Amino acid sequence: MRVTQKRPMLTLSLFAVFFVVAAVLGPFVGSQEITIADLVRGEGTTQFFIFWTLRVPRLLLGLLAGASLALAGLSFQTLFRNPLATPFTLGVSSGAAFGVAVAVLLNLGGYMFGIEVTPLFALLGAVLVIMILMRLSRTDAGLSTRDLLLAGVALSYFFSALLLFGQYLADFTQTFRMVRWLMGRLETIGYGPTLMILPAFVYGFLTLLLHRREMDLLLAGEEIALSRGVGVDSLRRQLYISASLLTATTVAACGPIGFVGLVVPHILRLLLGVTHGPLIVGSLLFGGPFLVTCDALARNVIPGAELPVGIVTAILGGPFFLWLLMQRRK
Amino acid sequence: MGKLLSIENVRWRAGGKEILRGVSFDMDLHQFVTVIGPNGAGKSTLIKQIAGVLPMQEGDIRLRGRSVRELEGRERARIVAYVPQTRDPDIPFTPRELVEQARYPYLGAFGKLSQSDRRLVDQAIALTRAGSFVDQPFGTLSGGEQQKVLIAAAIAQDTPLILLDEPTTFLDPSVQDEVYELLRQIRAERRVSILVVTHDLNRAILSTDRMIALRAGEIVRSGAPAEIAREDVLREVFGSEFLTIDHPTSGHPMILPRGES
Repeated sequence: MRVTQKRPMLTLSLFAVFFVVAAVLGPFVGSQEITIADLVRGEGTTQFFIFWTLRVPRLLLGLLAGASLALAGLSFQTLFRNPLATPFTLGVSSGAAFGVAVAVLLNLGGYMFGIEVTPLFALLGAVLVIMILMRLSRTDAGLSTRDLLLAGVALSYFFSALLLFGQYLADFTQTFRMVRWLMGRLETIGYGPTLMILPAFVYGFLTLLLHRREMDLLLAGEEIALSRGVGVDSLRRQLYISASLLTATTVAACGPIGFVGLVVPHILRLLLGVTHGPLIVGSLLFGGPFLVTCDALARNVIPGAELPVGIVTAILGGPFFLWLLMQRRK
Repeated sequence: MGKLLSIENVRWRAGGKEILRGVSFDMDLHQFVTVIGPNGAGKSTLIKQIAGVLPMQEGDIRLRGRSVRELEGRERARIVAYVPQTRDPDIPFTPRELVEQARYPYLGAFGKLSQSDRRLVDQAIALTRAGSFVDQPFGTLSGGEQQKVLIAAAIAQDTPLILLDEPTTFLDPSVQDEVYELLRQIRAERRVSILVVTHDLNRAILSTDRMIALRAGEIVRSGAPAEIAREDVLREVFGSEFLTIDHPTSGHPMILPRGES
């Protein structure tokens, strides 16, 4: 059995093709038909406006959000050495949802400090959770991943309960806004949300890429990593901060788009093996277009209705993942 | 340069209990030393501190004259390699990947394995005769194969000192022989020093230059195997009675359970 004799370079090249195809075709998908001729005709037309203000921002947001969620999921799975970890395991998204609930209940809208209020409050809620967890899991011996996981899951339930409480207090319109946010979507006007994710993505991607060998050793075991000279505690901190920031900004911009962060890293492992270098690059090259494709499907499965992409990722991702798992067992 | 390893009055406390109460000893190049003693004597704690798996509390450990407190992790990992006792079947890598990862202390900024890294990896795999299962998932290997892979990784780490925590536990007798044969071979061919923590007293007597007996966090005896493998010394170390008998071919004293009288 030579299961791990994979050819990561070949697979990554195919992912790169997928990325380019999704990036080129993505903005042409939607209820309003747009042709290249429309774009060539230039500014002033509705098509031109839709293309550059709605479609391209949506594409970029999708690529970045997909890649960020995949990277965050990968990092958390390695940090906890647990294949079930997702970007939302630690309650970062529950904190964000709570932030949104507060903004909605206070009837805040529009912009604050030049940032849209809903994502701003979502980001604040997420960062609140990140900081509470950082504080709670600090021990004399460094960051305790066991405490982090337990406290994170507890906090996740706590903020979900607060969200329910908020929904109980809310009126119909407010509840509708909260629920819609919770479904996760890539709808966007302009480049604001993309620019919110971009710095966290660049930071997270580079941090992880730089530490890919250390991540391999951590996955092999704490004792092995320490004895080969890895600064395990500092590595864990960096993984936690990178993955949390990737999650927080993505959730703030798009809402909690489920399943991408769990499923994409596993698909990548089945195709690329468990070494982190190819997995990190694959998260960008596959995670991005994966979410964009799901979004294109979401907008077209029911004619006239644009489903939130979060629903589609969960409905498609689950069975697809189970199918892959069964394939591997053969 | 200083000695390869010098342990100076190391103390370790955990959960209000003193595990190590001032342990000191030295090791030179090209030595084979075993640490023996009853469960809970502090053997594993000591070896983990040398390996950098546990932090230092009191006392000091010097590697080539430099305190482990000053050594950066990768610098330390270029002097000492460690084969842990626990073999985790969940390790998702193949043996080759695990052995390649042992080159981490030498990798440059881009983290790429060089030609000479790969040569050392191949040599370590050949030396441990792990070639036939090098691409199978680690979790599917037998206990003996897993142990060989972890020893191959320690060899590829290319350090003058290799530590092993209970390297023959859970292995059948023929594999135990193979492991000790391998350790003698790498010591002879690669001129490294080996420090083993073990309960396998007879193999320690047959293979090693010096035995250190720990009891309740202190060194009670230290010396050549013949000085340790004595009924009175064993009584002092383990608190129970053993018999000794000379090995029919090598002449080393062997330790036997007392049996029914």
